[in-house]
Amino acid sequence: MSNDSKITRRGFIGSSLAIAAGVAGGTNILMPTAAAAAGNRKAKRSIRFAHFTDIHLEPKRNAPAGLAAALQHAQSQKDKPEMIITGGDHFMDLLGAQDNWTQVQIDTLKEVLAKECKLPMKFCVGNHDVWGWDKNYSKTTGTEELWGKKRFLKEFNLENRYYAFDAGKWRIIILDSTHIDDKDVYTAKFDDEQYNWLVQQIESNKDKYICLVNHIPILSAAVLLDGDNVKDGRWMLPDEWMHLDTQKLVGLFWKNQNVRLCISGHLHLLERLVYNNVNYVCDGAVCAAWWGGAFQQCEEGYGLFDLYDDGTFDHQYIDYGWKVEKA
Amino acid sequence: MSEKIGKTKITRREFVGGTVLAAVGLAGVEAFGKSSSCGFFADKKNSKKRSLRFAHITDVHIRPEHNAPEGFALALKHIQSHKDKPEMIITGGDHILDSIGENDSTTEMYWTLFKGIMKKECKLPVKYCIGNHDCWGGNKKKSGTTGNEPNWGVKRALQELEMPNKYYSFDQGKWRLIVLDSIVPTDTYCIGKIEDEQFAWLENEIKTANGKFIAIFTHIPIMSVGAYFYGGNNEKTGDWIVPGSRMIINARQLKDLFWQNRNVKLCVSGHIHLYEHIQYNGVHYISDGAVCGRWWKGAHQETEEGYGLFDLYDDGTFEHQYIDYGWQAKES
Repeated sequence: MSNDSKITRRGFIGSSLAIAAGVAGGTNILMPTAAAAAGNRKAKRSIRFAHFTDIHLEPKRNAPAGLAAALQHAQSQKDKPEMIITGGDHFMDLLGAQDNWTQVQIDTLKEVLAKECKLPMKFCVGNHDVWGWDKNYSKTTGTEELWGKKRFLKEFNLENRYYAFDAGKWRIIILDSTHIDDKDVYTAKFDDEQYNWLVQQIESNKDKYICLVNHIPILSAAVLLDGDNVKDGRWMLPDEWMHLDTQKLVGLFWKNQNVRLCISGHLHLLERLVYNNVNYVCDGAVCAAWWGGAFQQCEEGYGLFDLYDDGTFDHQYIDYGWKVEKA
Repeated sequence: MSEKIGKTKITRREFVGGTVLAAVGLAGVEAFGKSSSCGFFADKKNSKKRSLRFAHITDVHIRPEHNAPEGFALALKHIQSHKDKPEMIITGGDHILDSIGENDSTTEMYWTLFKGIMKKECKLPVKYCIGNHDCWGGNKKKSGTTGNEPNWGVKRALQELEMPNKYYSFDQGKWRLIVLDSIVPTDTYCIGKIEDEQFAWLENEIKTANGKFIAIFTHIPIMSVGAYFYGGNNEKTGDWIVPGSRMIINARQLKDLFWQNRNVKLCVSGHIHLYEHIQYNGVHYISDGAVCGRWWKGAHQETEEGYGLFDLYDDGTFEHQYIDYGWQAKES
């Protein structure tokens, strides 16, 4: 890979400057160009990390070699990321997997990571990382000691299903989007316990910029175009596709103004949007279409994030060059 | 999907975050190294020439109440007082408060008010886009219309605004600007759709642009997240429903058309009264707030009364600002 640290940025800044409360009308503030922002950035970098979401690993589909290629690619960046943060769905599926097949998937991931990853990793739980919630297919009873999220947490030594850490001027908060639903396995939202903890994290870190990492997007328009979601002349989304508690979260972010960036996966689509001064990035998928090639218009890839001390950031979605072998 | 660089195939789609100013968000950035018309890896240090600077005013919803006429005059003055003055105004529809459910004389009163302020305060050329509230009498019961009036429906807006057609295009520098009619009236309101005849015309406009970059203007957004926020408790109902009146119902068809023709760079809309900026598959979708805010009663949710200021450049990039022109809604 060449040219890594000298990316040509043909960008522009489209500002939302005047909607921020307190900015006087009538002032035409000239925004710096993205090129200037990138080339002459004065702010120090707080952290550079790679975001690997939706790996969907299993022994088949040449997936282990694909993940190895992605890890090698990220670690051979000239300006190497300091860590990898995952976006959930590490496994093809644990929701409906029986005990043995669950262990095979877990061991496969451990093997690839042990061999190929020299960077520290932070894990985020996705819906397919939850063992056995689909009791029918998984042949579980729900009374197994490691049923649900416990198995993933234990196997990968996570302190909790949600947690936070500091990186320079930023606080990075890893959250769990998957909430159990008796009707149809799961619902996308933060449960009350987690939401209250998140409020406390945001309110007690006013001197930091906040970056949230969770599996299912809090806000997305691409999700509406993901499938045939038009029914009876309306757009309808199931409760698994996008967070149900978005209105509450948007309100929380607006009130506190320190949340800058929300990163998700789940859709296997690449989308970036700005709403009320918060940036939402849905970051594609390492596996693209579950290792069957590009998913819709999105290639296999990972995100590379630079968070800066002034609350700005850069993001690139990097196609690491994976080619699916045609059978 | 990619360009060869050295030995490794890479695709970069970038996003440059925030700026130093206040709590200001970010923006999008051009993307897609594969687009032949885009040339992502070209050296951009060459100073880029501007094709056009224009102001986008959407959702004026002019009315006599709430000091709206004064507010609209202020917005127009603000637009024309930029040191680097826009060359034209493009509207985003909903020029008047409503005519879907209004009778002939009220509708006439709104149009007279709108046109009077434009004549007095606006010295710039204007390109108009149809909004749902500009179409007269869709709700026959409320408006007392039969549908047989010679200027019923969209015809009245075309007449009042002296528009050549419901949809049209014009070229400006290296860009082709396409103004669409996204309104399909129903018995009570409308749905957002680009119907077959117009879609075929649009496809032809895109395909025959001859190297030009495309900006598309609709009243109802093609992609929007603001579309979710119209009240109701979806957390309780357990799903998300977006009415077809809030986001163009054949958006997937448009998305695929844009993907086949990588010259489409920008889609600008109104209708939602909320400001947002989405980047998807190399196309930017901007929902550009509203001149009237919450129908002249102040900010709508988190979005202040404002207008968009766009600079389109010869290399297919653009800049956008949403500008709060300083209107303060009066009490009562």
